[in-house]
Amino acid sequence: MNNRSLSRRIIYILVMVALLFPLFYLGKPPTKGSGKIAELRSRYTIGQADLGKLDPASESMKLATLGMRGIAATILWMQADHYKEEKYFDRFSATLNQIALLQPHMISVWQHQAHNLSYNVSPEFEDYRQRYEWVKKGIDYLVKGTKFNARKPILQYDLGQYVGAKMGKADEKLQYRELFRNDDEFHKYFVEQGLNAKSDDALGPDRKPDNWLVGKQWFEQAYQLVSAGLPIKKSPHLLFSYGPLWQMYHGEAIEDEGVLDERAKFVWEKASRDWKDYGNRELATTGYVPVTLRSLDTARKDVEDLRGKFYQKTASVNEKVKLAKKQAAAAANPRKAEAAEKPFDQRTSEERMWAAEFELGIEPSYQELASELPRKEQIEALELASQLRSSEEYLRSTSSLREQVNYTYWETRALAEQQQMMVDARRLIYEANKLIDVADIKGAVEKYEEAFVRWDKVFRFYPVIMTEDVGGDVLKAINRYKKLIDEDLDERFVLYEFMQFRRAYDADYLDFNIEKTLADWNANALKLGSPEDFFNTPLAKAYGIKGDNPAPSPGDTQSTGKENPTTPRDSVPGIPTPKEPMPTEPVPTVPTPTEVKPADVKPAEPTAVRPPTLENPGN
Amino acid sequence: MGDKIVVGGPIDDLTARIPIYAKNLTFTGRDGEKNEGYNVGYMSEYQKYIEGDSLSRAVWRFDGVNKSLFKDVILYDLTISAFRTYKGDIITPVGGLIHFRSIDGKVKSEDEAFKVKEFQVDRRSVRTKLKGFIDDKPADLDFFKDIAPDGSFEVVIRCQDRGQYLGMAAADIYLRPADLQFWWNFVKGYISIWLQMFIVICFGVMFSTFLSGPVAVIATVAALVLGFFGFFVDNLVNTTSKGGGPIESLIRLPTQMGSQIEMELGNETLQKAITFVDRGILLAVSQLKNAVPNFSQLDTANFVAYGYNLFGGLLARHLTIAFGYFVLTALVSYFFLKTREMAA
Repeated sequence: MNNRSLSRRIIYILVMVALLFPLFYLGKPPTKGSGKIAELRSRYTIGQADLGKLDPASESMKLATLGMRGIAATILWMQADHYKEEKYFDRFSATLNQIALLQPHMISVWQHQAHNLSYNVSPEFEDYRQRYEWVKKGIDYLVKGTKFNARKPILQYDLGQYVGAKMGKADEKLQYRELFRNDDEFHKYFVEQGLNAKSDDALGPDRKPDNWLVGKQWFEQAYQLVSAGLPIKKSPHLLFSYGPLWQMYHGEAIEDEGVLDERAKFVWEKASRDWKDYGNRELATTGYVPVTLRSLDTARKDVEDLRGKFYQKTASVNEKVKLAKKQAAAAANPRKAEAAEKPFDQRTSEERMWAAEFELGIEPSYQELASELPRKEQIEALELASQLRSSEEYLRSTSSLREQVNYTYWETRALAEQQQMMVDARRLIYEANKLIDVADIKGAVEKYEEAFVRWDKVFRFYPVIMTEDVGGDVLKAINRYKKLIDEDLDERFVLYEFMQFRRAYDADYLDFNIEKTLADWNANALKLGSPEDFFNTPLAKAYGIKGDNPAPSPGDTQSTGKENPTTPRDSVPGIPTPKEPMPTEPVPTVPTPTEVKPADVKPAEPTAVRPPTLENPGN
Repeated sequence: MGDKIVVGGPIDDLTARIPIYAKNLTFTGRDGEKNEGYNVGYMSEYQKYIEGDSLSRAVWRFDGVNKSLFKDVILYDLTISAFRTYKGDIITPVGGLIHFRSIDGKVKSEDEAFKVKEFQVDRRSVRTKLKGFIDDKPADLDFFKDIAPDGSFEVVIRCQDRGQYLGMAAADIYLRPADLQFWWNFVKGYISIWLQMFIVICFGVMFSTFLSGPVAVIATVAALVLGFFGFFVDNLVNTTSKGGGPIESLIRLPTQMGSQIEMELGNETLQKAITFVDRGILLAVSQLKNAVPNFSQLDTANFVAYGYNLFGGLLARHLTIAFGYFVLTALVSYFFLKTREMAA
């Protein structure tokens, strides 16, 4: 009995000793050769030191839970939820810190709980200064996360969002931005954490750090990490758009706060450059080829050229293939073929659908056309077809990505915002709003009218900016103006067409044919020439902007703001007259566009009594 | 140059406030009729809400307030919260009105406006000589002569802003006759923690008299766990917490059966047997739990952390509990040591 027990013990000891060898082989530290685990850890850079900062408190907590870290973390999560529900926000915050120490490399902890602090807890507070503090707590949480996770650029990306959008888009944005500008401790904290929030790049017009620009800096840190090869779960075209967009939002914010001079123009100029750089950046897509957003025109031309070449090459077989496909399709589905044969206006709605399907079905593919060519021409045609398909795919991807980031709008807007006429237009609206605050109704109305004339010009030169925020802001100004004058606005109003456009756009922008309408406006914009010439144009003179303006370039001209808003639309060259002018309005002589020369157009005399509505000086 | 830095007394949580709480809190709705206060949609129902610019009011009743605690000024704290149905003026907090009135409502002070300081202690005061109304006629009042002759009075709060709400619980207003020293409160907090430790040691010593070392450690830890988390066993017994007893849990875990769904084993008899045995085990543990002290109740850290005086009565109760367990465990230990000696 004793012998059996002894031999069993010996076997156990031998097995334990034997197991030590593989354990030693696997677990050797990297300094003493090549332990397999250490080697794997090093190859995939997942060692503690590779992941980020080593924190003694975190390691101690992990050890203290004696392998029950998961259970401890779950209990803490439940506690945190409870504290949040019961509004014990100080305890909530403390619990989150403990969770983070237990699970420092779990990114969703940092992301989820930072969001909780900045977006869910902060609105619970009545005082906006406390709300700001809780937004900061969320940001601070993320910053700590970046230290523990040096290889996760998503945290820098989130910081860009929080510092920029949370502070700059909230209803309290004026207050938040003001608090942020003056929060020297917070700026120092950023500097300590490796983000130079006091560098020139981050300073606003008052030479204090601006939340949008600091947010942009965080994005740039994320871009650096991504460029170094670290993965991020974000579409590249969206990811890289935020940096330049934040620059534009900065421009928008300072203009809303009354910085309407050269400083604003400079900000937009930089935004324009950033957007162009972004447009030139190669962006990875779900397809095989990366795209650059600014290559749309080239891509379009490539497709047209290749298509022309291909159809030229296959012209001899095109009709033959089509006919063969038509006959085959007609045999397979005679009702659809019959529908396609009928004249369009005699088809029922069902037949129209069938006819469309039939037409689509008989369209020969590139492959079909190429394979019908004589053998010696086939290879070249097939290569051409392959190139054409690739170019079409590239064009489709580029167009799609451009639409997703609204590339054209922002490109155009950044250009428009640099023009003096737009800065003036914004300034006049700003001044009008201020006058409303001090109950100077007459002054406000005059400012609005002066502004609307300029907005009309801006929209004519850059029609696409009517579609988004800018158009929305102008529409709000028009509504305020309407309340002030207490009258409805009709077609004599200078922004009447814009109003019609915007209403249709807002009512149902999916149905409204924006593309078509904007194309028409764009065609008209081309006729107006360069906006740089605006102040020397007959049009400008017709608006009462003096032709002898010493500085004609809108880029460096400060207009007087004394333009006459009551210029009749009919005196403007190249612009059709309304069908029925308002009976109460004086009907001016209507010169035809060809008859009018710049020198013939004179500013209208200021009227003694303001007409009920502004006249529309352009179409 | 020449400016001095004056260091004031401790503020916020580094104090030991002595609160005098109201006897009860009642509400009236927007129609002026009594109700239970409005729920604005939070999961927590600790605070109830009154509607702004309406007849909705919160009324606290104080009884037996000793006027000798207050000389010229009655100090009180507010911890009211606000709920906005619309954002309104971002900069200005939601406002309210507060007045004090006699129990019969005939005498009342003038309304005093305040702005909510959410999640903060709003330290306020009212003079004992104050202006107000007797039978709706303006009059100069003496608080403890006209409003609270026997120490009983009511505090009424209204919300000023239309469409906004003020939230409050019974403890969100209290009179604050004085503050004690923080350091002494801190020491009292430590005494509570020490008492917890003392009881655990008593149990450890007791177990060691009749159990071997490792088993005594496990038994002590079990007593500690039961003392802190015994409420969970009660929740399982009265089915507030779902998931069943140990056997049911053992089946649910590997079969990944969530606690919210009914256990389905396809054999009703087996299921009933499991539930029956589980219930027996839980009831036994529940009884066992009653034999160990509720350590959570002995926890007074929050008093210290939030700056409230750990009042003597509570400390005395904890001392009594600790002493009781000391006597009990000492007797049991004595008995076991004696019997072991006899056996030896």
